Amino acid sequence: MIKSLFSLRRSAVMLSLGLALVSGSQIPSKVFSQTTARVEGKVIRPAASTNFYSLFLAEIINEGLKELGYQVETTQQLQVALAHAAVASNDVDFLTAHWENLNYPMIVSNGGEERLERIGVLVDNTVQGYLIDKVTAEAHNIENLEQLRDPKIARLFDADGNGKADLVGCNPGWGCAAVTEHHLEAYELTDTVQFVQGEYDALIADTITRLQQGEPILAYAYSPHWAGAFLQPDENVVWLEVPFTTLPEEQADASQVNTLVNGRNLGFAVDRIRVVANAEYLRNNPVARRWLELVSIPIEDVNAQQKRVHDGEKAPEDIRRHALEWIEANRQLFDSWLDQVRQVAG
Amino acid sequence: MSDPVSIWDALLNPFDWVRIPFDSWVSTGIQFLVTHFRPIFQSVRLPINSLLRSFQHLLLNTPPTVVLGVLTASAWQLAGRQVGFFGFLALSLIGFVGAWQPAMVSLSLVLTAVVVCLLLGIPLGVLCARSDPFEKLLRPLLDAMQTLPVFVYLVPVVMLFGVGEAPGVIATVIYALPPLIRLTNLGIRQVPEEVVEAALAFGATPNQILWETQIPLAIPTILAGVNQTVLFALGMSVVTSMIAVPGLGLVVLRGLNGLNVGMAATGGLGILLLAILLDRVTQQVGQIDFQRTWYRRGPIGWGWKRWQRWQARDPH
Repeated sequence: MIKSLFSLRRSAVMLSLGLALVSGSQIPSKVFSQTTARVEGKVIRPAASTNFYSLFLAEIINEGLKELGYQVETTQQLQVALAHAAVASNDVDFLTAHWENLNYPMIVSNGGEERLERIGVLVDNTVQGYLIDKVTAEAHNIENLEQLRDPKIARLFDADGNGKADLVGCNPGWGCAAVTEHHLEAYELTDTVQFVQGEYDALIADTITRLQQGEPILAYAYSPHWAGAFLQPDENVVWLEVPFTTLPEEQADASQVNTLVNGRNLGFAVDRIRVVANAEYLRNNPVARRWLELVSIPIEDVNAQQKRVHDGEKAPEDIRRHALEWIEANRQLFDSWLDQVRQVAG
Repeated sequence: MSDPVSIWDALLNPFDWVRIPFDSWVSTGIQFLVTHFRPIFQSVRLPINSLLRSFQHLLLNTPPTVVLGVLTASAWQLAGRQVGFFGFLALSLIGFVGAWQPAMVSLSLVLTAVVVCLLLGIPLGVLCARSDPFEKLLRPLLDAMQTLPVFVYLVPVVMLFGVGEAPGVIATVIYALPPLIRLTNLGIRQVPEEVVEAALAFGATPNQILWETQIPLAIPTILAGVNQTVLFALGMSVVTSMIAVPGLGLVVLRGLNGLNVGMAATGGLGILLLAILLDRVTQQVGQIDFQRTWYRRGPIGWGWKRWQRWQARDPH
C-alpha cells in the first residue's frame, strides 16, 4: 500500500527497464506500416487501478496506441485514489478505472474537470448492489434490505457472534464504502447490521468460501469483478432491493441517476467505467484523445476475462495475453476504431 | 531430446525443462485444509473473541473520562509518575483529535494479542532454554515468522480463519510472538552458571531453580521481549485492517484509499502515541524499584501513605 507511493519515484528506473522489454515484445506487423506521422514516437503513460479488470482494459488501449505509433510506457498500477492524483499531477497521462458516479469526488478533490477530463465509455452498465445466498433468501423470504431491521433476520447473517448481521463491503475510502455507510444510516440499519470493511478481494474470497460451505452470506458486490464467477445471481445468490433510492450528496443527485436493474431497485447508480485523463495532455494529443473516446468493451467480455484471472491467470503477461486475444477476436471492430482515429490524424 | 541441440539447451537452460509445481502444491494443500478442517480452525476464534469482547467492553462501554483515569493510574502504578503524566497527555490528545473510539478498539486488540503471545511465548521460551534440540527445531520457524512478508500468510489466515477481529489477532500473534520467545530463551540462558550451581548445591530441585533463580534473574530480558511484542502488535494494526479489523489501522487505510491525508495522519498520530505510551510502560516495568514495595509506589502508595497517617493521627 505504502509502496504505491514510492512506485512513482521508482518508475523512472522501472520504465527504462520496462521499455527495453516492451519494445522487444512488440508485434512488428503494422506498427511501422500504418503509423500516423503526427504521433510517431510521442510518449504516453498509462495507469490502471490495482484491480485486474482495469489492467486488462489498459492493455487493450495500449495495443491500439502502439499501432497508432505512440511510445507506450509500462502501465503503472496504483490505488484508485492515488491514480487519480497521479493523473492530475501529470505523473501519468490516463487511467482506465474511473466509475463515473462513484468516483466523482476524486475528480473534485484533484482540481476538477479542467484538470481531469473524463472521456469515452470503457465499460457500460456496471451493476452494483447487495446480495445474500439463495438458500437463506428462500427459507426466510428475504427480498429487501430493510428486512434486516428485524434482529431475528439480521442474526442469520452474523458471522462473528456479536448479534449483528455482517455486511461485507468494499475498501474503506472507496466510493462504494461511502454509499454503503450512507445506506445503513438512511435505511435505519445501524443497530442490526455491522459494516465489515477491509481489502475487498480478501473479504469477498472469504465470503465465497463461506457460501460454498453452506453458510449464509450478506455482501456488497459489483461487476466487472472476478467474484462474479462464483456469485451467480438467481443461481446461488439473490440481489436485495432497497426500500428507496438515496445516495451520498457529494456523489450524485439521487433524482437524476438510474438505480434500476431489470426493474429492481438495487440502490446503486448504474454506473459507467470511463477513462480519466490529464486534460492538458488531451489538448495536445488529439489522436490519443480520439482513441480513448472510441474504445469500449462489453461487460460480458470483461467478466469472462475476470474469471480467467481468478482461475490463476494473474500475471501481467497473462493479462496482456487476454488483451491480445480479445483484440484478435474483435479485429474488425478494433480496426474500424483505428481507421476513425487515423481520420483525425489526417 | 535425442538431437544434440536440445541436450545443450537443457544443460544451459535447465529451468525451462524442469519445473517444481510449488505454487500449486501450496494452493492444493490450503484448499484441502479449507474443505476439511475449516470448522476446526474456526473454533479457535471463540476463546480469542471472548477475550477481545471483555477488553472492548471495559474500554468502550465505560465513559472516556473513567477509562482515561484508570489507564493513567495504571501507567503511574506500573511505570512511575512521569510516564503516568505522559499517558494522561497522550490519551487526552488522542481523544481530542477524535480518535478515541478507534484507539480503544486498537488497544483492546493489542492487549488480546499480547495476552495470547504471553500464554504461548513464555512457556515456549522456557522450553527453548532448557532443551537445545527444541531450540534448533524452533529457530527456523521463528525466522520464517519474522521474515515472511505479512501478506503471504494473510491469505491463508483469511481462508482458514475467515475475516474480522479474531483472524486479525491470529495474524498479529504470528508476527509478534518471535521476539518474546527469543528473548525469554536468551534471558534464561544468560543467568550465570555459578548462580545455578550455587542453587543446586543448596539442594534446589530443577523446578525451584527455574522459578526462584532463573526466571527472576531473566525478568528484565523477558520484559524487553514483552516490550518488542507489544510494539510489533501495534505495528500490525494497519496491515490487519485489510482483513476487516477495525481500529486506528482502518482509519489510516480509509485515509489512504480516499487520499485523505488528514484522516490518515490522525490514525497515524493515534498509533504513534499509543506506541510511545506502551513502550514506556513496558520498559519501566522492568526497572523494579527495590527501595519500595508495590503498595508504596504509584497511586496505591499515595493512598497507602495517607491511610497510614490517618491511622497514626492523634486520637484527640
